[in-house]
Amino acid sequence: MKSTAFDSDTVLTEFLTDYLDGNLSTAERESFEEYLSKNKDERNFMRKALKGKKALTRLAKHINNKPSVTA
Amino acid sequence: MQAVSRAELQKMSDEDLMEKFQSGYEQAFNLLVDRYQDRLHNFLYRYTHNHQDCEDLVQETFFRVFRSRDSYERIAKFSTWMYTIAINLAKSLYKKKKRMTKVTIHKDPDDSEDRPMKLEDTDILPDDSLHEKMCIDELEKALMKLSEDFREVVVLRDIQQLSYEEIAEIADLPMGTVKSRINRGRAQLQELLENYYQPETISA
Repeated sequence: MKSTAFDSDTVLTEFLTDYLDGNLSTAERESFEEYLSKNKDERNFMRKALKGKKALTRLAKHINNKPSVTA
Repeated sequence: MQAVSRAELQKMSDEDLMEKFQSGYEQAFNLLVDRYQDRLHNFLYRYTHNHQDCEDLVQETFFRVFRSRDSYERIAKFSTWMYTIAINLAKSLYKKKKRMTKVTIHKDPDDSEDRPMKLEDTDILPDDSLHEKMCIDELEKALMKLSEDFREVVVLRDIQQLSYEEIAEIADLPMGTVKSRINRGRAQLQELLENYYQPETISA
Protein backbone atom coordinates (compact mmCIF):
# COMPACT_ATOMS: atom_id res chain seq x y z
CA MET A 1 0.00 0.00 0.00
CA LYS A 2 1.23 3.47 -0.92
CA SER A 3 2.44 5.53 2.01
CA THR A 4 0.46 8.70 2.70
CA ALA A 5 0.61 11.70 5.01
CA PHE A 6 -1.63 9.73 7.39
CA ASP A 7 1.35 7.49 8.20
CA SER A 8 3.34 10.27 9.80
CA ASP A 9 0.89 13.00 10.77
CA THR A 10 -1.11 12.26 13.92
CA VAL A 11 -3.35 15.30 13.49
CA LEU A 12 -4.38 14.12 10.04
CA THR A 13 -5.01 10.62 11.44
CA GLU A 14 -7.30 12.17 14.08
CA PHE A 15 -9.14 14.08 11.34
CA LEU A 16 -9.53 10.97 9.22
CA THR A 17 -10.78 8.89 12.17
CA ASP A 18 -13.36 11.51 13.13
CA TYR A 19 -14.32 11.96 9.46
CA LEU A 20 -15.00 8.21 9.06
CA ASP A 21 -16.91 8.13 12.35
CA GLY A 22 -18.97 11.18 11.29
CA ASN A 23 -17.68 13.18 14.25
CA LEU A 24 -16.44 16.33 12.51
CA SER A 25 -18.30 19.64 12.66
CA THR A 26 -19.47 21.07 9.34
CA ALA A 27 -16.55 23.51 9.18
CA GLU A 28 -14.01 20.78 10.05
CA ARG A 29 -15.51 18.40 7.50
CA GLU A 30 -15.38 21.02 4.74
CA SER A 31 -11.75 21.84 5.53
CA PHE A 32 -10.82 18.16 5.54
CA GLU A 33 -12.63 17.54 2.27
CA GLU A 34 -10.84 20.49 0.73
CA TYR A 35 -7.54 18.97 1.87
CA LEU A 36 -8.54 15.63 0.34
CA SER A 37 -9.57 17.26 -2.93
CA LYS A 38 -6.00 18.56 -3.31
CA ASN A 39 -4.19 15.37 -2.24
CA LYS A 40 -4.89 12.37 -4.45
CA ASP A 41 -3.07 9.68 -2.44
CA GLU A 42 -4.72 10.71 0.80
CA ARG A 43 -8.10 10.87 -0.97
CA ASN A 44 -7.65 7.32 -2.29
CA PHE A 45 -6.61 6.11 1.15
CA MET A 46 -9.67 7.73 2.74
CA ARG A 47 -11.94 6.12 0.11
CA LYS A 48 -10.48 2.67 0.80
CA ALA A 49 -10.70 3.10 4.57
CA LEU A 50 -14.32 4.23 4.26
CA LYS A 51 -15.25 1.29 2.03
CA GLY A 52 -13.35 -1.11 4.29
CA LYS A 53 -15.26 0.24 7.28
CA LYS A 54 -18.57 -0.27 5.46
CA ALA A 55 -17.61 -3.84 4.56
CA LEU A 56 -16.75 -4.58 8.18
CA THR A 57 -20.05 -3.06 9.32
CA ARG A 58 -21.83 -5.44 6.94
CA LEU A 59 -19.89 -8.37 8.38
CA ALA A 60 -20.75 -7.26 11.92
CA LYS A 61 -24.46 -7.12 10.98
CA HIS A 62 -24.23 -10.58 9.46
CA ILE A 63 -22.60 -11.94 12.62
CA ASN A 64 -25.10 -10.26 14.93
CA ASN A 65 -28.09 -11.54 12.91
CA LYS A 66 -26.83 -15.10 12.99
CA PRO A 67 -28.27 -17.45 15.60
CA SER A 68 -26.02 -18.18 18.56
CA VAL A 69 -22.90 -20.15 17.62
CA THR A 70 -22.37 -21.60 21.05
CA ALA A 71 -25.93 -22.49 22.00
CA MET B 1 -24.57 -11.40 52.74
CA GLN B 2 -27.81 -9.80 51.48
CA ALA B 3 -29.74 -12.07 49.09
CA VAL B 4 -30.10 -10.79 45.53
CA SER B 5 -32.64 -12.21 43.11
CA ARG B 6 -31.73 -13.30 39.58
CA ALA B 7 -33.99 -10.56 38.20
CA GLU B 8 -32.03 -7.96 40.17
CA LEU B 9 -28.73 -9.42 39.01
CA GLN B 10 -29.90 -9.29 35.39
CA LYS B 11 -30.43 -5.54 35.65
CA MET B 12 -26.89 -4.95 36.92
CA SER B 13 -23.96 -3.65 34.89
CA ASP B 14 -21.08 -6.00 34.12
CA GLU B 15 -18.95 -4.27 36.71
CA ASP B 16 -21.64 -4.64 39.40
CA LEU B 17 -21.96 -8.32 38.53
CA MET B 18 -18.20 -8.73 38.90
CA GLU B 19 -18.39 -7.16 42.35
CA LYS B 20 -21.20 -9.50 43.31
CA PHE B 21 -19.18 -12.41 41.99
CA GLN B 22 -16.17 -11.27 44.02
CA SER B 23 -18.36 -11.26 47.11
CA GLY B 24 -19.43 -14.85 46.53
CA TYR B 25 -22.40 -14.84 44.12
CA GLU B 26 -21.52 -17.45 41.50
CA GLN B 27 -24.81 -16.71 39.77
CA ALA B 28 -23.37 -13.31 38.86
CA PHE B 29 -20.54 -15.09 37.05
CA ASN B 30 -23.04 -17.27 35.17
CA LEU B 31 -24.82 -14.14 33.98
CA LEU B 32 -21.55 -12.68 32.71
CA VAL B 33 -20.97 -15.91 30.80
CA ASP B 34 -24.48 -15.63 29.30
CA ARG B 35 -23.84 -12.04 28.27
CA TYR B 36 -20.46 -12.59 26.67
CA GLN B 37 -20.01 -16.15 25.47
CA ASP B 38 -21.43 -15.56 21.96
CA ARG B 39 -19.71 -12.20 21.54
CA LEU B 40 -16.45 -13.70 22.73
CA HIS B 41 -16.82 -16.67 20.41
CA ASN B 42 -17.49 -14.38 17.44
CA PHE B 43 -14.54 -12.20 18.33
CA LEU B 44 -12.19 -15.15 18.71
CA TYR B 45 -13.44 -16.69 15.47
CA ARG B 46 -12.29 -13.59 13.55
CA TYR B 47 -8.97 -14.16 15.25
CA THR B 48 -8.53 -17.93 14.83
CA HIS B 49 -10.97 -18.94 12.06
CA ASN B 50 -11.50 -22.24 13.82
CA HIS B 51 -14.65 -22.98 15.83
CA GLN B 52 -13.06 -25.70 17.95
CA ASP B 53 -10.17 -23.43 18.93
CA CYS B 54 -12.71 -20.70 19.72
CA GLU B 55 -14.71 -22.93 22.01
CA ASP B 56 -11.56 -23.93 23.86
CA LEU B 57 -10.45 -20.30 24.11
CA VAL B 58 -13.87 -19.10 25.31
CA GLN B 59 -13.87 -21.75 28.01
CA GLU B 60 -10.32 -20.94 29.01
CA THR B 61 -11.10 -17.21 29.10
CA PHE B 62 -14.06 -17.72 31.43
CA PHE B 63 -12.01 -20.13 33.52
CA ARG B 64 -9.37 -17.41 33.94
CA VAL B 65 -12.05 -14.83 34.76
CA PHE B 66 -13.38 -17.24 37.38
CA ARG B 67 -9.98 -18.00 38.84
CA SER B 68 -8.65 -14.43 38.74
CA ARG B 69 -11.80 -12.71 39.93
CA ASP B 70 -9.99 -11.13 42.88
CA SER B 71 -7.46 -9.43 40.61
CA TYR B 72 -10.21 -7.51 38.76
CA GLU B 73 -10.45 -3.89 39.86
CA ARG B 74 -13.37 -1.69 39.01
CA ILE B 75 -11.17 0.98 37.43
CA ALA B 76 -11.29 -1.12 34.23
CA LYS B 77 -14.43 -2.03 32.31
CA PHE B 78 -15.18 -5.73 32.71
CA SER B 79 -15.34 -6.24 28.93
CA THR B 80 -11.90 -4.63 28.47
CA TRP B 81 -10.39 -6.88 31.12
CA MET B 82 -12.03 -9.99 29.66
CA TYR B 83 -11.06 -9.21 26.04
CA THR B 84 -7.47 -8.65 27.18
CA ILE B 85 -7.43 -12.13 28.70
CA ALA B 86 -8.98 -13.60 25.54
CA ILE B 87 -6.52 -11.88 23.19
CA ASN B 88 -3.53 -13.02 25.23
CA LEU B 89 -4.82 -16.60 25.13
CA ALA B 90 -5.45 -16.39 21.38
CA LYS B 91 -1.93 -15.05 20.79
CA SER B 92 -0.42 -17.87 22.87
CA LEU B 93 -2.39 -20.44 20.89
CA TYR B 94 -1.32 -18.85 17.60
CA LYS B 95 2.35 -19.02 18.63
CA LYS B 96 1.95 -22.62 19.78
CA LYS B 97 0.31 -23.60 16.49
CA LYS B 98 3.04 -21.94 14.47
CA ARG B 99 5.57 -24.14 16.24
CA MET B 100 3.66 -27.32 15.44
CA THR B 101 4.77 -29.40 12.45
CA LYS B 102 2.26 -29.67 9.65
CA VAL B 103 1.34 -33.23 8.62
CA THR B 104 -0.50 -33.91 5.36
CA ILE B 105 -2.33 -37.17 4.83
CA HIS B 106 -2.17 -38.34 1.22
CA LYS B 107 -4.53 -40.77 -0.41
CA ASP B 108 -2.97 -44.23 -0.72
CA PRO B 109 -3.50 -45.45 -4.35
CA ASP B 110 -2.91 -49.08 -3.32
CA ASP B 111 -5.60 -49.03 -0.69
CA SER B 112 -9.08 -49.61 -2.19
CA GLU B 113 -10.69 -48.45 1.04
CA ASP B 114 -8.86 -45.12 0.90
CA ARG B 115 -11.11 -42.98 -1.29
CA PRO B 116 -12.58 -39.49 -1.14
CA MET B 117 -15.57 -39.40 1.18
CA LYS B 118 -18.96 -38.53 -0.27
CA LEU B 119 -20.52 -35.82 1.84
CA GLU B 120 -24.06 -34.57 1.50
CA ASP B 121 -24.02 -30.91 0.48
CA THR B 122 -26.19 -29.02 2.95
CA ASP B 123 -24.99 -25.62 1.73
CA ILE B 124 -27.24 -25.27 -1.34
CA LEU B 125 -28.81 -21.85 -1.02
CA PRO B 126 -31.15 -19.68 -3.09
CA ASP B 127 -29.37 -17.13 -5.38
CA ASP B 128 -29.61 -14.06 -3.12
CA SER B 129 -28.54 -15.93 -0.03
CA LEU B 130 -25.76 -17.54 -2.05
CA HIS B 131 -24.52 -14.16 -3.29
CA GLU B 132 -24.64 -12.75 0.24
CA LYS B 133 -22.82 -15.81 1.58
CA MET B 134 -20.14 -15.46 -1.12
CA CYS B 135 -19.63 -11.80 -0.24
CA ILE B 136 -19.38 -12.60 3.44
CA ASP B 137 -16.98 -15.46 2.67
CA GLU B 138 -14.75 -13.09 0.67
CA LEU B 139 -14.88 -10.61 3.53
CA GLU B 140 -13.91 -13.27 6.04
CA LYS B 141 -11.05 -14.43 3.82
CA ALA B 142 -9.81 -10.86 3.35
CA LEU B 143 -9.99 -10.24 7.08
CA MET B 144 -7.89 -13.33 7.73
CA LYS B 145 -5.28 -12.05 5.26
CA LEU B 146 -4.72 -8.86 7.23
CA SER B 147 -1.70 -8.88 9.47
CA GLU B 148 -2.46 -9.75 13.09
CA ASP B 149 -1.69 -6.17 14.19
CA PHE B 150 -4.35 -4.73 11.90
CA ARG B 151 -6.89 -7.54 12.29
CA GLU B 152 -6.94 -7.30 16.05
CA VAL B 153 -7.86 -3.61 16.12
CA VAL B 154 -10.38 -3.56 13.25
CA VAL B 155 -12.22 -6.53 14.76
CA LEU B 156 -12.35 -4.84 18.15
CA ARG B 157 -13.58 -1.59 16.59
CA ASP B 158 -15.84 -2.56 13.70
CA ILE B 159 -17.08 -6.01 14.75
CA GLN B 160 -17.07 -5.75 18.54
CA GLN B 161 -17.74 -1.99 18.45
CA LEU B 162 -15.46 -1.13 21.35
CA SER B 163 -14.29 2.43 21.97
CA TYR B 164 -10.80 3.57 20.94
CA GLU B 165 -9.92 3.91 24.64
CA GLU B 166 -10.87 0.29 25.33
CA ILE B 167 -8.95 -0.93 22.28
CA ALA B 168 -5.85 1.03 23.33
CA GLU B 169 -6.05 -0.63 26.74
CA ILE B 170 -6.64 -4.14 25.39
CA ALA B 171 -3.95 -3.94 22.70
CA ASP B 172 -1.62 -2.02 25.04
CA LEU B 173 -0.95 0.60 22.38
CA PRO B 174 -1.01 4.41 22.33
CA MET B 175 -4.31 5.85 21.07
CA GLY B 176 -2.66 7.35 17.95
CA THR B 177 -1.28 3.95 16.95
CA VAL B 178 -4.69 2.33 17.46
CA LYS B 179 -6.42 4.86 15.21
CA SER B 180 -3.72 4.67 12.58
CA ARG B 181 -3.82 0.84 12.54
CA ILE B 182 -7.62 0.81 12.31
CA ASN B 183 -7.56 3.13 9.30
CA ARG B 184 -4.78 1.19 7.61
CA GLY B 185 -6.47 -2.11 8.39
CA ARG B 186 -9.74 -0.94 6.83
CA ALA B 187 -7.95 0.40 3.75
CA GLN B 188 -5.96 -2.83 3.30
CA LEU B 189 -9.11 -4.90 3.67
CA GLN B 190 -10.74 -2.86 0.91
CA GLU B 191 -7.68 -3.35 -1.34
CA LEU B 192 -7.90 -7.10 -0.80
CA LEU B 193 -11.61 -7.07 -1.66
CA GLU B 194 -10.99 -5.01 -4.81
CA ASN B 195 -8.34 -7.52 -5.87
CA TYR B 196 -10.82 -10.39 -5.45
CA TYR B 197 -13.26 -8.76 -7.83
CA GLN B 198 -10.72 -7.33 -10.31
CA PRO B 199 -7.94 -9.93 -10.47
CA GLU B 200 -6.48 -8.40 -13.62
CA THR B 201 -5.59 -5.23 -11.70
CA ILE B 202 -3.35 -6.98 -9.18
CA SER B 203 0.15 -5.59 -9.48
CA ALA B 204 3.32 -7.40 -8.43
